[in-house]
Amino acid sequence: MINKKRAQVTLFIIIAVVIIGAAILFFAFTDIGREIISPIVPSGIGTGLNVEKDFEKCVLDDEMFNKEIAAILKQGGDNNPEHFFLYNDTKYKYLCYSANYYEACINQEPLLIQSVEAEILDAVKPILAKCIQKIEKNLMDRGFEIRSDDFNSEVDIITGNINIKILYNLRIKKGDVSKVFESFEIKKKSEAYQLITVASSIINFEAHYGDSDSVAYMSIYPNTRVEKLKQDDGTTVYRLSDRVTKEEFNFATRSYALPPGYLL
Amino acid sequence: MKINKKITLLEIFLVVSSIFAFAWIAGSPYNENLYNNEIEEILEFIFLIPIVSAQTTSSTSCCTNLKDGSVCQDLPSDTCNELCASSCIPSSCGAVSQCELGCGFSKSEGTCTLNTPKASCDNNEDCEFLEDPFCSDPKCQKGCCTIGLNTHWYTPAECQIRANAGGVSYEFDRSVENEQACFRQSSNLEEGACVFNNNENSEGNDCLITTQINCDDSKGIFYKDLLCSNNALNTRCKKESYVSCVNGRDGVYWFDSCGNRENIYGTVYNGKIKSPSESCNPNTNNINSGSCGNCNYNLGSICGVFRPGVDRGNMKGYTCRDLNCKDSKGKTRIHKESWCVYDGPIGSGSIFSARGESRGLLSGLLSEFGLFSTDLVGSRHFRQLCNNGEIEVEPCDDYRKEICVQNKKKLDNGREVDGSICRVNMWEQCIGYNTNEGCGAACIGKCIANPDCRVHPVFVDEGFKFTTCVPKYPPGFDLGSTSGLESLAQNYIQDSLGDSGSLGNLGGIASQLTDSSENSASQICSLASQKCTSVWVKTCGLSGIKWECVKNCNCHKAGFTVQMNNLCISLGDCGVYANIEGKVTTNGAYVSKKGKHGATPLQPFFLIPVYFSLAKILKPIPPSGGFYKDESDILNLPTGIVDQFLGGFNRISGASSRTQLQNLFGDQLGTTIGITTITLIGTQAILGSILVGSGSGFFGGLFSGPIFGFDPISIAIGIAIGIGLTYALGCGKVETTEIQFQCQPWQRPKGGDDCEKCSKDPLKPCTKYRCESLGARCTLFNEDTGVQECISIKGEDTIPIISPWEDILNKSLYKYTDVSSNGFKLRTANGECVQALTPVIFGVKTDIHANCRWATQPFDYENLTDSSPDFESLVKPVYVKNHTLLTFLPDVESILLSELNPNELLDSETEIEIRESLLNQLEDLNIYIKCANIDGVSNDADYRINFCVSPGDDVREPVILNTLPSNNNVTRFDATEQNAVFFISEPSECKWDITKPNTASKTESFNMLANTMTCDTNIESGTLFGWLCNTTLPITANENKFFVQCKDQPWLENSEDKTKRNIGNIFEYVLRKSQSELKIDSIKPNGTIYAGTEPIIVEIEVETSGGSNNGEAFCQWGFEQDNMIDSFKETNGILHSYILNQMIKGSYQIFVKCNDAAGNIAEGNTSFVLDLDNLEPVITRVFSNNANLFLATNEISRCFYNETQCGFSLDQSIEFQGANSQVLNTPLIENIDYYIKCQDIWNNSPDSCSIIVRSFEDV
Repeated sequence: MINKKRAQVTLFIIIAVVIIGAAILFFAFTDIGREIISPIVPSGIGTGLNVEKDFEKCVLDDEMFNKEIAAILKQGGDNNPEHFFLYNDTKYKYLCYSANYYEACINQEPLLIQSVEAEILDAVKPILAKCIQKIEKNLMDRGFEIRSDDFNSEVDIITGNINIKILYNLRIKKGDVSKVFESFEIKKKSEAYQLITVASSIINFEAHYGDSDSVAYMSIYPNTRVEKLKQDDGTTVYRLSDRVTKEEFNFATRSYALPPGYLL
Repeated sequence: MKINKKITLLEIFLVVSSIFAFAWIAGSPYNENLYNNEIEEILEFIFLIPIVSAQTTSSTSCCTNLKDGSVCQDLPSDTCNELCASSCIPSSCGAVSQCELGCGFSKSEGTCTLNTPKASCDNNEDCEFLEDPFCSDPKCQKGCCTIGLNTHWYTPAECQIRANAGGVSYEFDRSVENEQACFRQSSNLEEGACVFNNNENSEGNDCLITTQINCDDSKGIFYKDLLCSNNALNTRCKKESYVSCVNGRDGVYWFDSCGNRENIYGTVYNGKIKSPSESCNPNTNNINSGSCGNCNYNLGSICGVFRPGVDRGNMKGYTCRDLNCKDSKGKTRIHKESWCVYDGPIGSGSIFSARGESRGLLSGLLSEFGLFSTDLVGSRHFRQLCNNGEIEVEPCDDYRKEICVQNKKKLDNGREVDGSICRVNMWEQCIGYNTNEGCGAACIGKCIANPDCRVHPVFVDEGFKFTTCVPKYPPGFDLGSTSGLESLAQNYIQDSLGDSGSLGNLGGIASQLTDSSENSASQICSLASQKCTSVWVKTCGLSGIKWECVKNCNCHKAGFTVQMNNLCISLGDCGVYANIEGKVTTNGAYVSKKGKHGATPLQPFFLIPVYFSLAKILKPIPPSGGFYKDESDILNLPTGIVDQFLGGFNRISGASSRTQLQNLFGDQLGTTIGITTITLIGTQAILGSILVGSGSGFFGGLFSGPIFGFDPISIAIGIAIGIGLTYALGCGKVETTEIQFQCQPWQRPKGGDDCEKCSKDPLKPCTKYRCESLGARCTLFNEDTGVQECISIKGEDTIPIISPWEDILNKSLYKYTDVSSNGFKLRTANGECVQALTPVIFGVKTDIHANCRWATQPFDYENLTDSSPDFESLVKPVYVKNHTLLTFLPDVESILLSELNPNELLDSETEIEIRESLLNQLEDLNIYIKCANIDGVSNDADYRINFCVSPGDDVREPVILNTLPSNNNVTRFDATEQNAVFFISEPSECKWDITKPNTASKTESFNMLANTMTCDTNIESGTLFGWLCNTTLPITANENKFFVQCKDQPWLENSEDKTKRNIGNIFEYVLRKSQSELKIDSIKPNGTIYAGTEPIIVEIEVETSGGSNNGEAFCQWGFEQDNMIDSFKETNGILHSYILNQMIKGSYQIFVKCNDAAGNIAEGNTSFVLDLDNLEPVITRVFSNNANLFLATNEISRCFYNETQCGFSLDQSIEFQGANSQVLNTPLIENIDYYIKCQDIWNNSPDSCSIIVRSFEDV
């Protein structure tokens, strides 16, 4: 009796293993099976596919994405500054400027963070578009039907991050199963906010008093390095950098410039 | 007595040659009409200088959008359209609404930006434009914002926005003093363990280290000062799980297994939170420690990942990283410590402070050598700082526009370290303190009080002593301009760059807007060009007849040269002094003597070894601050001073310095400052272009210099004529000798061998100024790019080829003849000799930039000796291609007159011999020219220019060339007399009367004129504008006419030839009286002015009327009646305004002084009180009436309400009607709560509610 019972149990176990194996094979290797399981796989349909993560990876790994942001920050928050001071082959945008001697500078970018955000947005849009195309192609290659609208995006520079929100209505469908994505968010680690905040403070000081003390800023913000170089024409070149991330934010000012010698 | 003809020949040459001077003119060639037209303007300008010295000479327009992308810039009107992308508005940007400056408040970020143009803000929906450009609005007042465990220095809105973004609560504290105090608070936050009961987790409770408020928000239980790993809390967090750094903290910290920060590594664990001061080894930096992670950023250490081989003291992969440095002298500098570094001596220095062996070397000069300002030419002040283990440099503004000051600072652990800043060099004020008398008691007081100034006494002799206030750190000059080599360098660089060498928008448009400072350098140096007159008496004693010096005898000694050169050096890059390499150049100063007695003092170039030694020996001692020692200290300067630092000081100098500079020492020392003014301004006006690289010294010699020049000539004449006179003259005769010290801009060393030394020290960046100080060929390539290089420009290394300069010559009058490679002759257009006493402007050109020297006999360019035949001509430190000369050729009579007393007669034989000799020599005069390239290589062959003087009688009538004041000018309203100066075409006697002689005969009319002018008939006194006569004219009516007539050749009056004297036409001169007195109609503000915050902005407004031109005047203001601080920013009209933007509350009295063009003066003053209103409005009464809720406030207010809470923003509220009044109302709605907040006109409002009103039914 005992042996019979054991045999039955063994048989059931074998059947169960076969069923489970068949199910796995079904869901893993047949289209129907994959479609059925897709709704319960986060952010993707099928194994190896996570649309949000793939999109984020596509953007963050893009060499141009990082280069563009770094270039913008290095040029006073402008991708292609018109009014700049060329120093060491870098265009230091004038963020506060007076052409005259003995006069306080006039703020050239009153809303600096917003301005940098707009510049970054312009610069990364093509990269976002490229990544969207890549994701869509990837999905289509996997047999998905895709419907999408034009995308919009926003950049928000906050403490510790540059956040990029992509408002992109993406609907993917395979068989009877579909999924809708309304937006994607990419968070790039960055100390840009801190650097721009210090820059704004320096600019305000320059606009009022014409000079600033780099050591004072470094005392308050140990991770921020402030380098200040005065030029012959009255321009002051500022190079702000984060000691950990090595990000740079560079800009120029010309405030209360003094002429050489006796200007009578 | 027989005259040695050879001697006479030489003498005549010297006489003639001494009246030449070299100059060069960049611009239009000489034009007679231009000359005649412009001279009037020049004289008018001179007349107006004391009154309108600060007038802006060029108009500006406002460009709202420039092509380079910048906004709202004032541009010179003539270049505005070229630079402007929009239309140029003929007004200053301050008056253009789009460019009105205010404060840009970002609604989304809560941040404020100063000095924001209105248009920039209005174009952005997110930007709210607040009127105060310094953002003193309460919205922008930063406070300490605590979000989570961190504190930030935010505006209230910024704090709220950032907290909301993170989904956490916040605290905002306005009472925290400053940013640093705020950040210190983060370490003082009361932290503790926030425990979350988690009964399902058998391992224990969850826990977080946070603040009470955050814990409450998170519904946790807060245990102040306890660590999460404390066993008593029964959490799952295990103590000291791993080690890491913490953002915003210095030390190496333990973390528990839940990821919560614990205590500093090495601190004994007791389950409680410990501050750094309670942790291991407090107040040390713990660098190299492997057991204590209590790093201290302020002491030079901070937590970092352990780097094997670099760091010592490994604490689980982290360390207290050493941020300190060793400076160039091996001294340990802590992180953030800053100190001053210099190129050589700075500030005041003296041979007395030099050490050791040099004393012997210089002992001969020791007694004469006083203080001088020692900063080397090309030098700069540097601030070096230790930054994260590296030494960085922050150069102070070049040209010594800033100086580095250094002080001791005490650290928390008691150690003293250096702290330094670059601050503005206030040297301009030093010059401004001087008056006509030099530096008197009041000036000395100010000079001593100003740490950037120094009292410089000159005491050569009893009759030649004065005190001046000079810069302690003299400013640098644009050496490219002062040497005349600017264009050469620019062309070379342009050629080198080619088409592909664009440097982008290098330097913005600033360079195009740079005002010319070239002339000012020479003008400033010339302040030390002083004349000492020694007096000599002829004595007849047993020892024989001799001339004895009785006054100012020391002016003939070396001390005169030394003291004057010290003054010269102290004014700027002037005189004979050293550059940063210790190279001393020769041509910055020279001494000349006019008169036959005494020796010529030592020439300044003999001091080269002295200054070379001093440049090496004197050590810099950093000044200890002065006006302010810390950037933030600028905010604490007294009212009135801070404005000067922020730009006002330039206007102070603009208002007064020019006048003061020009008047400096003028009367007392008998200098030619006034004349120098004529030449400087005159040259500019005549040429209608900018003069580059020259100045008063040059043009002083050119146009106003004594015609007979100076020492060698006078000596020669004195000897020559003296031979004939010795026995004819009696004993006791008094004669004078003038010793002139000429101070000019410093000369760059020849060639370019030292150029590369500019970049030898990476901590002293090479700049244009530094580079150009090293040599005439040194030019900065890639200027201001970070990769600049001081190169030696190539080319122009050939021997200069000299040729006549045709364009400078007035060909209707003169021509060059017999032109060859060796010279030419100058003759009239008809080929005849030049008429005596007629100004002749001519010149030579060189094919390359050259420095030309000339003499009356062949000479060696390099052979500078004290006995050079004409030293003056040898010291012109300018390299140019066009070299101008000007002369008045004398006649025989004028030469004789200059040396003979009218009462002293020669015997007839001697006179005939002298006359014949003079006549012969005047028929064949030569000067020899040598020009050297910038390497100092000159032409070997002599280049000769030949002249001759027309031998005939003077038949020209004297002409009044111009007057001062100009004809038809207006005098003061209260004037009863007016001093007037007349410029005559030749030495003449002039007379005047108020009635016109009624005769056709010139002789009769001249005799009928009743009043005689005081005329300088000395031929040596001629200026470019002629010979001066002056007189005082009565002003009796609204229109005053005067009739003036002149008679030339006054020296013929007692001779047989007196009939040969020519009389000019009657000149009608009119002066009009001002119609009314100048009045100040109003001065604002007055009374009490309230403001919301400090600093308070106050606009002084003055209105004038009357005077010479309907109220148009130039006004200045000051806090004391006799001490005008500055001119009004807007002035020279009838409305005058000035903005004081750093005022603090208190009582003030402002004094105003206005002058108009006629010299009318009006004075007035106003008193006002500045008070602060920083209290929020108080609701004094609440009532309902006719279904309305009424509020009464104690001041004009706006009120808002919200129905749910006090912490509402205005856009979440409803405003009461009756804004900006004291009674406001809104419809009364039953059963709601009114959370009411009121703000006054300064936006003072409570953080919470002003009042909470609830309606209820009265039962």
